[in-house]
Amino acid sequence: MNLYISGIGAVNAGLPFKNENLSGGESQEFSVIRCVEPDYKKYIDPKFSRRLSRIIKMGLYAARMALSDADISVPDGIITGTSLGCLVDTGKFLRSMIEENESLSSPSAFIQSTHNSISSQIAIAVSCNGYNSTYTNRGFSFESALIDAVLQLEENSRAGFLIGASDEITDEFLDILKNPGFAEYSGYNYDNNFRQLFSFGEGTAYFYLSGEKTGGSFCRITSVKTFFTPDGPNDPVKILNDASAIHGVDLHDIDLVLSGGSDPADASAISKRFSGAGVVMYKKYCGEYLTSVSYALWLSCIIFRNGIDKVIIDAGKASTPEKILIFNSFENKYISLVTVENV
Amino acid sequence: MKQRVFITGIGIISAIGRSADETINSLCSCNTGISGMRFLDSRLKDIFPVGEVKYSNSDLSDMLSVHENKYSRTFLLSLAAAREASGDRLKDYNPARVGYVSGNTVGGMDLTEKYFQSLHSGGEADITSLLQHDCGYSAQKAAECLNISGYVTTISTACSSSANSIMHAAMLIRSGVIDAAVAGGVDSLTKFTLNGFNSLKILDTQLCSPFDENRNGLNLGEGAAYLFLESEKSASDHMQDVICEVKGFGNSCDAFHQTAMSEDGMGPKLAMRGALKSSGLEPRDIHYINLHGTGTSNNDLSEGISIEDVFTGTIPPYSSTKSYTGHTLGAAGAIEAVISALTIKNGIIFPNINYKTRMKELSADPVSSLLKTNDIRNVMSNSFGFGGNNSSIIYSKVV
Amino acid sequence: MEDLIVKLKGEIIEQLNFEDLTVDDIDTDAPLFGPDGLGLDSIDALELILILEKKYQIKITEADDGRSILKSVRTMSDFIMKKKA
Repeated sequence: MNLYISGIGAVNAGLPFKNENLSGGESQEFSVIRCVEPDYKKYIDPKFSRRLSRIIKMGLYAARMALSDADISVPDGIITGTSLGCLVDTGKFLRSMIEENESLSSPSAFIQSTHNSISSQIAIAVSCNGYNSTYTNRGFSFESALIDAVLQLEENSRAGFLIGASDEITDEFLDILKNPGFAEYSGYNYDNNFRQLFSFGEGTAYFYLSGEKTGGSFCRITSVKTFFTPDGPNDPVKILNDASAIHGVDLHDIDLVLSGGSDPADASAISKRFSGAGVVMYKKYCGEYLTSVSYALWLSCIIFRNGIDKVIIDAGKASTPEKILIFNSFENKYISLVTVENV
Repeated sequence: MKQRVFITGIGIISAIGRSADETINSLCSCNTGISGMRFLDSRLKDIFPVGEVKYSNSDLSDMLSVHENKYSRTFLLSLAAAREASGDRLKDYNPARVGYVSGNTVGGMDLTEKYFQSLHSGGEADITSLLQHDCGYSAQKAAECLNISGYVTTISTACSSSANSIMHAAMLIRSGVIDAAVAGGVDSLTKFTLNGFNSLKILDTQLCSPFDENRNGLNLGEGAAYLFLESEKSASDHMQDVICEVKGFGNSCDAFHQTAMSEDGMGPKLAMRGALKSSGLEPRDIHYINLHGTGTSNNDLSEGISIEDVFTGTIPPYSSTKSYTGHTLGAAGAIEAVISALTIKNGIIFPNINYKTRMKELSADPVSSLLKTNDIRNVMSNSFGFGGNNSSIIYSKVV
Repeated sequence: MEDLIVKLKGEIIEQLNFEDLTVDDIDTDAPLFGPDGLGLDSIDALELILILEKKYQIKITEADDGRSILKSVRTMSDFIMKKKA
């Protein structure tokens, strides 16, 4: 299976730059890497903006950017992954319902709180009547959207789909994440003293992809695999070896790994497994959030299109890779692998 | 060669029963499960009738032998139905080749709203209850309980969530990614959704009358339903009795408005036509449509007009079983899938109860009394959600 | 009356989230719905009803002609004045 990418769009923390000293693998106080918000008017008519909460604006902006990048006006389908959905409006409606004792609730907040608002507002904006779905399953939300794209494009390889992910962080959610009672079971990366290993993050990324190569294609996804492993194992190299030996994932010739892990020892082991390939802990740049693989995929696209030396400082090998492995794990239960290759 | 996808197990819990057997008995008795709220402690409890599952969380925990007072109602309902659907067969399947695909809209909101209400009232609140808030929690937990590890995901597309789950699972099986799946969905009654729908002013204070000229809105419901889906080869290898087949499906987006359906029903028409095309059937081959039929002015008009267009001259019998269960939101597609399977298996069309007057825009009445017939081979089940997420699935007898 | 009209416009801007509009941008007599005015839709109608209930403690009943009441800022303020009298 090949998913050829010919357009990308994002609202996120931005690219890692040379000499940027973002920390990772070291405990730090609760911090957040927030998105750099664009001028939404570029892609969103202000008349419609009022009905769109922040996460929907982010999604719509990134989606339109991807379509513009691919020079497409209407995709054949739209699939979104969001692990927590529209937190701001959910909170707004819930708060108002409780404070007003179940009277006088605003319908706008309710309808904007539904998880599928992002995908459906994009469809309304670009008049897309095609296939439309939203995945919301923790560490697999974006990956499920990609796997669904594979299935849809198997039926019609010429179709072009807009696939993306969006997750936001709010101050209220941050307060919950900081609570040790919650943190202990949350599955996020904390050390033994419940200090974060990565900042918390947020972001949106959309990709226009097709089952067939076009003049605009600049890279292709060659595999997407998820492993639900409630009983472990935790060893990343074993997971990778099983993926290859048992599940047939082609891990030959990987020359860069974008890893969602936080342990430098794991990063070393992974590098060794791939004959000294560079391993970048990408969450240093985007923070920890459940659809962060979409950031790593976006980063991969930029690497293939613009060259690695403009993107990452600690990639090991200097030359632009031909094959990137994105490897992430959440709570040691949600393991995902995506391989992306140059075209 | 793509594998055919068969339904070999069903599980359901709703206002009309906690198993497929109880459900069919209720359906045949033509008694609605919609009544006053017993368990949800809402200020609106005496205003809006609901399709509430007739068991408390404590009852459900006992039935499932899980820790009382710890779990969200969403998870409890989903486990009840998922266990019934899979029975004891999973021990004979490779867990890495079985998937769990679920749909829901508000996750563990029943616990979340209690948590914030407690804080607001200055009481004690357990923050770990928020770990069950997100939509994916119940799928993860149920997959762990059932020892399923091949593929786990959750879909949230409003009222078409579990229809899309069934579709996605069917495509995964057809493609050989997995051999079998527990697929369906769940939603529990919450003050959040009750107040949400009330803010849109589309709740009926009486028993709903889907597709009736004088309809006044919907009744919210809750429940869960799952199908055990497997490839033809897997069903044969495991010697499973086949109930019916997932023959085809269509998914489209109305792309019109966040809550209202377009008056010409563009989205529903595309979904129904997509289902027909994907199943290789003609409109005249459909023997019954299980409507989305919520009882709202907008949905029923849009759906009714769409059916008149897609099935011109050959409109099959149709009915909305939401008059029994209420509108179960994320669970609706799956609950109605189970009801469609029961229709095929038993040759019975369950009526639109509480129907009196034909809609002036339509040329047909829904089936309004129990109809036993020998020839139900292909059933279409519609699920049309907020945000224009429209899905239609065709279930067929296997001959 | 003018004070009420200005207040109502401010509440409409806030409740309906018109971030880029000021009170002076809203024509008192222009239709609120449809393409010629603010372009409101059915959800906005519910929000306007919420303003009447929340800010003015006025419910629109079955007997009231909702469409006429919500036609413009002017008709809304007339209705409020009538109910408060």
